Amino acid sequence: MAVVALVATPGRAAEVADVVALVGRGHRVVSWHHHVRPGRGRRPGAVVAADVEALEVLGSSAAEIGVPVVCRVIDQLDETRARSWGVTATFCLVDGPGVPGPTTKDVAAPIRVPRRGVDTRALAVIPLLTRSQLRSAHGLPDPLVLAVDPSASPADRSTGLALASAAVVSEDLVPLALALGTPSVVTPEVADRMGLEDGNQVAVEGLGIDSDRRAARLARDQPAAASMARRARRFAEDHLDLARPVEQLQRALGLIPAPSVIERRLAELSTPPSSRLNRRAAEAMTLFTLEAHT
Amino acid sequence: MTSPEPIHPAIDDDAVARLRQRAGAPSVEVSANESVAGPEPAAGAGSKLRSTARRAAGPVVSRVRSELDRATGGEVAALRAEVAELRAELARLRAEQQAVLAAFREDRR
Repeated sequence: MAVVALVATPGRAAEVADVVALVGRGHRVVSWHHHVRPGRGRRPGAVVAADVEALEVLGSSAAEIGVPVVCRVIDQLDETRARSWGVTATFCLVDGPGVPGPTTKDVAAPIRVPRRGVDTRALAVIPLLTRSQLRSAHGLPDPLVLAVDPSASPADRSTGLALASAAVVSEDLVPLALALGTPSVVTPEVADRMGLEDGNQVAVEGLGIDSDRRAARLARDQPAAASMARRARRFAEDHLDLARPVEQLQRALGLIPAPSVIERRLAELSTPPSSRLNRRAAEAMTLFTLEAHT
Repeated sequence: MTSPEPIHPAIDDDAVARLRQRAGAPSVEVSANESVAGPEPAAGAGSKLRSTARRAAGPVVSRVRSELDRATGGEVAALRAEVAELRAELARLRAEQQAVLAAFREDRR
């Protein structure tokens, strides 16, 4: 278990708390000024800087601190400053694909972390036919059109979205709905913010009875709902997935080992993480590792 | 009997029951186990003893059956999966709490 320290200029840390929680899962997360700085000789295993200004606290360059450092950047100037300081990697928080951020053409582009993302690897898509079978098995009506209550418990929300034929979805639940491949109706404001198109990944409609009717129509039009669900999942994988950027940050911080040749090859072939092939490869790799250690 | 692996991480059995209640569809009740009681003992000499023995053995037999069910039904695997889930949840909560606390301390120094 490594010690991951968060360092920030006052007022800038809260924005990156969610990312730090994901990156530091399984490790110990501490405050730089509260835990590391006061104790002589205390050294963290890795550092996450919430802003470029906070890097000065750590020293004049990365060599001075001697541990991997990742830094959040908001523009190209930040990126240049962070790189010249010597950070291992930079990251930026993004709202969706349409939001202009630091250039991605640059080789040393920051890792893009969605503000409201989901771990698509942990959530397999549930196709519409499977949903229908699950509804039948659970004695639920078919079709099942829902307006998912954002104040309900997480289990109720995810179950509703996983089993619905179509759903009216509030902003907080859009990433989960897209990842599960739920045909969804969202408001124009949410669609604008997240870069979603009407009739493409979601149906866009104002709040109230109109959105309910649109969801009911969507549930009846199965071919349209099925293709919308496929595009929604693709959108979630491309723009809202948290697993990949978090893994990149963890690797940059030395919290997880570099991928093996087999893992790299499977990733090249776009093998789904939940596939049997991936699981077998992981099991085989574990065996090889055990043999190497004995 | 609990299945060792859930259908999908997003689907919760209790939530499905609540959803079914809300959706107004008839609930699907799993039929209760068949009674383990045997046929009525024939009246006559000795039948009273047999019926008493049967009644006394009934709970023991049902207990043995249920224990066998538990042992062969993947109960251990289900419990292990549950423990693993709880551990993962604990790790998530711990990381979230530590990150929020660290952010708070950095912001308020």
